[in-house]
Amino acid sequence: MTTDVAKTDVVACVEALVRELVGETIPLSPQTNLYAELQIESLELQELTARLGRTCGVVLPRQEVLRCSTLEDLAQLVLRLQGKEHQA
Amino acid sequence: MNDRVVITGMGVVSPYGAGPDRLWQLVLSGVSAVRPLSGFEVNHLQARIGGQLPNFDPTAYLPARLIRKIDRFSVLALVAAHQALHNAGVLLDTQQPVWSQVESQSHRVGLTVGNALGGWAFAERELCHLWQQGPEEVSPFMATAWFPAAAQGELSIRFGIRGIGRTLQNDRASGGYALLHAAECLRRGHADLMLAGGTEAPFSPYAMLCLETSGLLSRHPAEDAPRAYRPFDAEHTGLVVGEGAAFFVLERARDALRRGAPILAELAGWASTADAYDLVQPNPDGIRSAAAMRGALALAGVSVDRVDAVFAAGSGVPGEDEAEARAITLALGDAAPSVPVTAPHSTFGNLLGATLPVNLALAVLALHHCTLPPTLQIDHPALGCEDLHFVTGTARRLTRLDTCLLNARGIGGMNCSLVLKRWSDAERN
Repeated sequence: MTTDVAKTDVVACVEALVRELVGETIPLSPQTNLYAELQIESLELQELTARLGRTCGVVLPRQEVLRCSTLEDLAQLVLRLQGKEHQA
Repeated sequence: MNDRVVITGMGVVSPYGAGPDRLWQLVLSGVSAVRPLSGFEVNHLQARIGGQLPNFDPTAYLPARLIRKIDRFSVLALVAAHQALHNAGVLLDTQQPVWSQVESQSHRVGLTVGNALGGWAFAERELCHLWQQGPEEVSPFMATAWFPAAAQGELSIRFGIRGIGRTLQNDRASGGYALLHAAECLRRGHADLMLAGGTEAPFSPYAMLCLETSGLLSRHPAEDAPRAYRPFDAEHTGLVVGEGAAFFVLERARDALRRGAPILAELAGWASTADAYDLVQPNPDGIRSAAAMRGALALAGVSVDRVDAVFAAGSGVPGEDEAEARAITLALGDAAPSVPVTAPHSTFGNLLGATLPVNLALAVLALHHCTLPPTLQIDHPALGCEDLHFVTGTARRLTRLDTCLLNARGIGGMNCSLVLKRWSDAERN
């Protein structure tokens, strides 16, 4: 995957990686809450963050990841970081 | 009465599969669970046999989301512990424990786990990722999966146990120490209910190599695997290890009676000693091992002539067998030649940190059935072991089986003994 994926692609990427963590049975949407609905725990978040960063070509700062509540929040963070990289 | 500690639930995963009854039936049937090892690289090993649990599907018991984050020794612990809690009647229909309803009750529930090796299968896989693919491919769950206390953490979280939590690591005596410590916590009033036991999953290339380099493993030919494990036999050639877990719910008798719990047996005495002799070899004089047996009997208030059976540590390592035989003779004195001695793990392997807990489950069932499971493969007792009265060949039905002495010995002579007594309602007071 390249670093200039469109927003929909990033959302799909987040969904696919979260799907790998939580399994097939839980419905996901961009508004799905990582904690209240998926009970993502600390090391799962660490794993998700690392995979997402590698897939999308960015480094996700832990403090900013912790401010994300939904899948869309994570996608927005990735897009913002990709944008910064492009500006740099 | 106030201090008496009883077993109100037990759960087992053995090389025969899940459940104490399955273990009992197959041990008594004389079907060996020792087989050639498979499923991992063994070409670098001389010891290629073990009590391996085949076709075990953890997803039948636990969510796949959890399984991938933990090592097999934690999986086995979770499955056995769930059985024990269910058996003790402390799980709600939701499968959550009763103390999940009241936070303060969960503070009075404790957990002790015996484990010798930790989760090397998980660790080795991640070390391969490190060296072959780079650090970014190492699972973050490496932080919580591989070390011996990992199972304790998983059990604590899964069952909301918020009181005492400890992992005891004393090689093959680990599970014995966990049970001993749990009983002591109850007797001292540090907890109202303890979940205690041991777990082990030793089958990985590195863990097996470490066991082999200790010099203690049997190198019996794989094609003759069922006859390999021969505690106390003249042709004993060493340890044959197995995988599994056994957990127990322990309570003070008065608490168990108050809640109407089924009492399976009384854990009446316990003691531990150390040889302080050598890193690997036990002291051949057996004196400190005998002291553990005597200490456990003294705490239980049981005289040697009231010991109906001994479940021996019976490692199958020649020097260890001889030292234990000497220790049993020292501990039981004149009674020694007439007390039946068995090492039923000869049929399924030494489960290291879980070996005493699994033998304790067999002892509980032995009391229930008034029958002692046999030690397979004692054709001719080894030199120094001839004077003991072994249960060989087939199970032995006894007219009286009320009190069992159980031994565990860790590498270099870490000794632990327990006394298990039949519980009858006549003993309420």
